[in-house]
Amino acid sequence: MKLEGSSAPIVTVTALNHHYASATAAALNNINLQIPAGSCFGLLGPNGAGKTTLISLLTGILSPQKNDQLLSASIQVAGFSFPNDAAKIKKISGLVPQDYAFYPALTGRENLTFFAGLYQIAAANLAARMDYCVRVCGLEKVLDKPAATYSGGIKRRLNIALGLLHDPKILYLDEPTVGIDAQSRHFILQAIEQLKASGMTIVYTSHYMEEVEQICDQLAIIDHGEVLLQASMASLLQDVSNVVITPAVALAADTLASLRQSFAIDWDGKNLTMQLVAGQSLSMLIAAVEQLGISVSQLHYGSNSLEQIYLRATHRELRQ
Amino acid sequence: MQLLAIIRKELLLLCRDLHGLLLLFVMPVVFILIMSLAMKDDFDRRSGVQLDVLVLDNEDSVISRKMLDKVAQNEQFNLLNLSDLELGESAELAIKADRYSFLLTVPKQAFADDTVVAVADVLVAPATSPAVTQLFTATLMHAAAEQKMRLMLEELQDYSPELEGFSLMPEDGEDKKLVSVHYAFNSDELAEAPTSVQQNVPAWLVFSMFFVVIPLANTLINERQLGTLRRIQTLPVASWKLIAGKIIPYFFINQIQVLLMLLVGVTLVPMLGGDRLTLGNSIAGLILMSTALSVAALGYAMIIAVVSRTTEQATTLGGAGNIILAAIGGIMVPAFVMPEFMQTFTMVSPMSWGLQGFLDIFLRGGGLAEVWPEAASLYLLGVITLALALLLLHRHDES
Repeated sequence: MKLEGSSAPIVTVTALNHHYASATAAALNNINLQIPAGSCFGLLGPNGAGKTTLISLLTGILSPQKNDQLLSASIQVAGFSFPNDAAKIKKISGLVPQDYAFYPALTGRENLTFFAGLYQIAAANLAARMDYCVRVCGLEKVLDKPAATYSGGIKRRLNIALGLLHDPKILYLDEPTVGIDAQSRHFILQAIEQLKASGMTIVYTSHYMEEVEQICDQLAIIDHGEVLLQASMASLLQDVSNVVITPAVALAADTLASLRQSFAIDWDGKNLTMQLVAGQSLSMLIAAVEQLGISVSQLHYGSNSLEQIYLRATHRELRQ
Repeated sequence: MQLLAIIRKELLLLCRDLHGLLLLFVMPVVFILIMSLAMKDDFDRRSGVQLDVLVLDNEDSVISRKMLDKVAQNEQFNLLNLSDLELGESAELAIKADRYSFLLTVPKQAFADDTVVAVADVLVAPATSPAVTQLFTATLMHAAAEQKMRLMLEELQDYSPELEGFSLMPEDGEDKKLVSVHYAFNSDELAEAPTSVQQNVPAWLVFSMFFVVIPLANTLINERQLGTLRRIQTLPVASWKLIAGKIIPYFFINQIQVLLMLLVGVTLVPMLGGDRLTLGNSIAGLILMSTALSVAALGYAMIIAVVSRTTEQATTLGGAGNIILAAIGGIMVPAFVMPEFMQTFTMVSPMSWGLQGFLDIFLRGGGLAEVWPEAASLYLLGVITLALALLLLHRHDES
């Protein structure tokens, strides 16, 4: 299935399952996913939802499990499929893990040189690739200092640079801005925009909704090992059926009961989401609100916030 | 190219790891120097090295010289004529300072004057053991009595010419036949007690080779904890290269340790007053032993690296494991001073196999033919532990 308004998929995941030997529940359960080429694909989900397992399978850290019931399962990346083309897929994929996945005792240059050696980058291209990564990630001034001495933001930038060395077609960024200051976050988001503009496909996981909203054009929400939602960011955020009202004071139970008689509503204790169905208009809804004497502090119509979409999809459950 | 990159990275990490370098190179050198010098006297006594005896022959007659020659026939004692030495201090002070074991003084007219009872006087140094003192005085009494009897016989011959040519003493060499000696064990082993340096250089060398466990395990655990291993797993690198890239540099580190420790035994220990290490005459045997030991040490290191979750665990497990293996294996306490059942027990420790292999070469003139059983055992252990470590690593990744 090709997503509306998107280019051909570079990654297609079909009926993918994964079960860790030590766990009782499946980490991934019948995952179907398409990542359009050249897109910035946001992968959202609570902790333990299965994002890391999915990225581990897509990048070849984990091998797809063989099971008679899973014969139809497949992972295709740029026309190659696991496990037969694992080496080819690894060559065109880059991972920037959430951890600082480099050697603190080595300098930035030594870290880059080591990983360039593992990527088998030809000597003729090595200097150019290193220059590009250093420039995009702004590492020029710290390149010959031990990585252990870097600030959190520079460590994040080195982490990204190491994932770019081999000029991957698809780059997986696992929470690349966690725990850093606003300036560093801004720099990294700009660098990602630059990579996106160069045509690189980016898979981006983050718990910062505003970041995902800002840079991603495709989105999937995953929880309990299942894809709950997948759509383009524009279609998700555009919403003419829901009105979100933030009242000045919390609504009483009888007020909510009255509203329920005419509208499909959802009250989270702060925001009132009212769904317009056929035959109902925005003016009817506002009239009903005024009639009940609800003092409106804010009103959103026509667009959803990503946070609300996310919380609705994951049922706002607090995870341990 | 990938393998070279991994090897280069491992060496860079080790070069930046000051504690690792101290552990691998400085610790064994210090152990070798301290232990070789501290235990020198004790080993010398066990290995039958001569005790120095200062001699002051005030009589300086044919008879006194014969007595001293007789004492000198006992290979335990090295007689040094005071007049040939430039002590720079009095003989008594030298003895008090334990620079010599005994001072043997022959008084003037000791044999010429019949009224002189004691023909020799012995001053015993403080550190000389009572057993050695008894042995020396018995030897001296025997030699003095022999000369006294010779004098008495000569006097008798003056009165009874028919006694001409008669001797009360057995001919040279004949006296050895008077007592037949049998050993309840292989008498060859008598010559196998090593000197202090012969014991300590291979012992602490083996010990230090097994200490690659700590830097090797720490880098692997750090890679796991930091997520570097996770990143590497997304790269098209064969897993054998990752393992080989770790093992190869440490294999060469082990070989450098061997060269350095042997160099210390040959040059530094004698410079500081110890014995010079004798290397035997089998380079091939030495190479076989050092490579076999390295393979075993690397297998052990990989097992510790895989089963440990934190660097603290690896340091404790690896360090304590090494100390136990060394204590059992005759590294810390030489096997030949242990009771027989403990000597047998040393064979449990692979460090003992390595030490015995080196002693075969350094001490017993052994070569490939003599050391192959120890080397084969070490290779086998190394291959098994490496295979087990790889299996555990694979299982760990899967879960």
